[in-house]
Amino acid sequence: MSLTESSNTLYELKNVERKYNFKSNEVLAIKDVSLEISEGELLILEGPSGSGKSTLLQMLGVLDLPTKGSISFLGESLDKASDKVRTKLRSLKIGFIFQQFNLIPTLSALDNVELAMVPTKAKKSAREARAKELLERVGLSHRLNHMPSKLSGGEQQRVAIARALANTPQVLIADEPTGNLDSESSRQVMDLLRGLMTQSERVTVIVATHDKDIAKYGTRTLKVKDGLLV
Amino acid sequence: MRFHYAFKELTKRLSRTLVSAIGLAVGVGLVMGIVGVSNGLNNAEGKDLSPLSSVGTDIIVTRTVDAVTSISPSSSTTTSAPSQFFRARGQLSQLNSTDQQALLQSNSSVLTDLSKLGPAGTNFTYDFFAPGTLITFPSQATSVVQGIKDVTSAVPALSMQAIHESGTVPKVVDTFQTGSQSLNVTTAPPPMTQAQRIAMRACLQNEGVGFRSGFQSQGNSGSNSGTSPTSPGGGTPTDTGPRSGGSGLSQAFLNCMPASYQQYETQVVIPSQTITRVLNPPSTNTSTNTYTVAGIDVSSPSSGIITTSQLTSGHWFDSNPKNEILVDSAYASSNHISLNQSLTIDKETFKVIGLVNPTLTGNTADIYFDLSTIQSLASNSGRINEILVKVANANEVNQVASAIKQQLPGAQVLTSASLADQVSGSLQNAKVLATNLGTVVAIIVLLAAFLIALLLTLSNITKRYREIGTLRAIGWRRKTILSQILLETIGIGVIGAALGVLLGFVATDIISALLPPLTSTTSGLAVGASSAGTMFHQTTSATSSTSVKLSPSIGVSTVIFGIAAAIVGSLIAGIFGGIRAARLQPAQAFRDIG
Ligand SMILES: Nc1ncnc2c1ncn2[C@@H]1O[C@H](COP(=O)(O)OP(=O)(O)O)[C@@H](O)[C@H]1O
Ligand SMILES: [Mg+2]
Repeated sequence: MSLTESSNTLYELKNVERKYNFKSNEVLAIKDVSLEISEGELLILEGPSGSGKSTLLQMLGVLDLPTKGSISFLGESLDKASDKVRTKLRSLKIGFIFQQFNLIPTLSALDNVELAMVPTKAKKSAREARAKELLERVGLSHRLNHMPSKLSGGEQQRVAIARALANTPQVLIADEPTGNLDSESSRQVMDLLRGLMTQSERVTVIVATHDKDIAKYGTRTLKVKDGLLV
Repeated sequence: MRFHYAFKELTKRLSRTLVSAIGLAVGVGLVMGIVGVSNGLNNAEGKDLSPLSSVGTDIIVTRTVDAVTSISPSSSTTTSAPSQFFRARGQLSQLNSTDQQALLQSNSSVLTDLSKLGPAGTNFTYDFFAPGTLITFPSQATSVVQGIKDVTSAVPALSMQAIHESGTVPKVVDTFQTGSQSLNVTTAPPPMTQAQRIAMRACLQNEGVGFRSGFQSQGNSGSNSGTSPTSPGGGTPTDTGPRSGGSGLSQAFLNCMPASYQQYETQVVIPSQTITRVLNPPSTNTSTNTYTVAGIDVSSPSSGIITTSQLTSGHWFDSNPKNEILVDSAYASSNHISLNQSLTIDKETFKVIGLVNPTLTGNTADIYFDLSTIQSLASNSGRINEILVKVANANEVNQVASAIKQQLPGAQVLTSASLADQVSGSLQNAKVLATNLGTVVAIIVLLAAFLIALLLTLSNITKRYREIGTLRAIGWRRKTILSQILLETIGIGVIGAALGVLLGFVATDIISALLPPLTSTTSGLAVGASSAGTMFHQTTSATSSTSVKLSPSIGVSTVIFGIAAAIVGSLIAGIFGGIRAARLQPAQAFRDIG
């Protein structure tokens, strides 16, 4: 990597710990993680179930805060970020992709994508145009008015990717995006994510997976084990 | 978008939506039903209790046997004539003699001997009239009331209990003979006076009884029979006494005893008579109906116990009201009496000239006559038992009432205020039930409906943890989540309101169908006939019951109330559920299940 290509730092994590209190037991889901993530990466966090990947992703996605250590995102410390600030960050800078797709079951593909634009207060026509464009981008222009239940797992996950891109985020957080998909759909979804990273969107993608085969899509792979990076 | 989302949430999950909406609707419907019935009861009572003034009367003056227990102290200073004959105390014996006679006479007219109705087999129809406890008083009292300051009008009336008996003179009679028995009466007579003794001795000597020897020979008479020189010629023809030897002597004694002593020896003979008695007088084909009649001042068509405004058909009394009557429409319909029909009452024919719908509870009659007609029918000429008084100003009612009490000691003076206090009965009970228990039940039902709506909303949110977490994750703010949940529950509230209002009408019909018929009882003013009632072994008290038709009404306000209740319920559920949803951690989006 040349110096000119050295990108801006997106995330900076220092000695991050996340402790859960679960039925009077303390669970150290993340023990001590220090990490930097730059723009334009496709970072794979690989590790077995229960190793703490999701916990780490939740903190990267500003859904959760560490119990110790600090995180900065886009040069700003999140330590004292209010819920309101974090909500706005999520809305505008971060897109989410889940193992279970997490589409709203009562809404069509188009409506699901539009829903992500509700906090931006964009006009209905603008929302609809953007949603159509994104669904076309993920190859689902023929599935606009389908309900999630009428879509295959791969299609649903692509709708979810379209939704995640709705507000042109800087980072996509994907937790086991292929966990519920067959290998063909998995390949499609991972190709799509890599395309987002490499093509015009220049979106940084962070993927957590327990599947070693997924690691090949990443620009960097970090192994997670017992709440630590190894 | 958010309305669209809420709409889709409600329509795509229709069964969940309907369950929540029906929960609210049941609560709202039941409460509306209770409110509707309660309204119906209030309306019924309102109609029933329309103040006396609505029929042009502010005060009713009556006199009842039990009503007065003391004479007002000022009565001694009242010197007007009516006060003297109007005075009454608690007891019949304390009525003045005119009143006593009137009361006894009028109530005794019902004691007609059935055996005098005619030979067996003849049909008879009689109408007896009795004032009962509503004692009559001279009609001059009306002018006394008229003379009181602020009295606009005072109209007399005579209300009576009538007993109509008809049937055939029973054949089963029992004839038996009394008298002709002989009785021997033995009594110790008082000692003879000196004069009687002298007279008797003289008599005996006259009869030839030797005084000294006679008394001595009496003891030997058994052995000395027939030898007595004193024997009158031929002896006594009637004497068949057992003492053969002393017959002449005893006859002389009988003849010479004083008259009063002779009486004791006389047989008492009871005169013979034949009595024919009807066995079990109310035999099966004798029917007895009681109804109430009232005589009114036909020249006062706008005030009194019945007025022209209460005519439902026909017309008011003509110039010659002698054979005209007005009939209560309810009584007419239950007895199949129609307008212009002729009725025979106490052998006189009357024409039904109008049907009336009296509103003055407790003071209604079945048949209304001209006052003088009923006075003569009931042999109560010149007497009335009610005065209906109109007062110039409503504020002066109490003042006038006490003036009447003072002028007519013994008068029972009723004002609309005191009448309202006396309304009781199942209508009143139902009203109390509807307002007290009904309110409690309504509140409980409504709270239960609200609770159900809240619990359903909370359970709905629990099921949607991941969905809500996802919305939070993709940047939805807390208040956006809250308002989204509110939108959904308000939608449920609107559906619940619509269903609830519908159900409310149904519930009202069901509740009123299940309610027993209600009666309203007004005490203290009735045309009671307790004395006549006792004679006829009927239970009659001085109360009047009106059957009340309950028409539950759901008005606009009730509908608005129902809608508001449903919306409030949904708002409560939406606010609590929404807060719960808004507080969810966005990390819930990462949940593997749910
Ligand atoms: N909300 C939570 N409360 C308590 N324990 C948790 C919670 N989330 C995760 N954990 C625990 O933290 C550890 C890491 O979990 P997770 O981050 O989900 O691992 P992974 O995603 O790698 O499977 C596990 O032991 C898990 O049980
Ligand atoms: Mg995980």
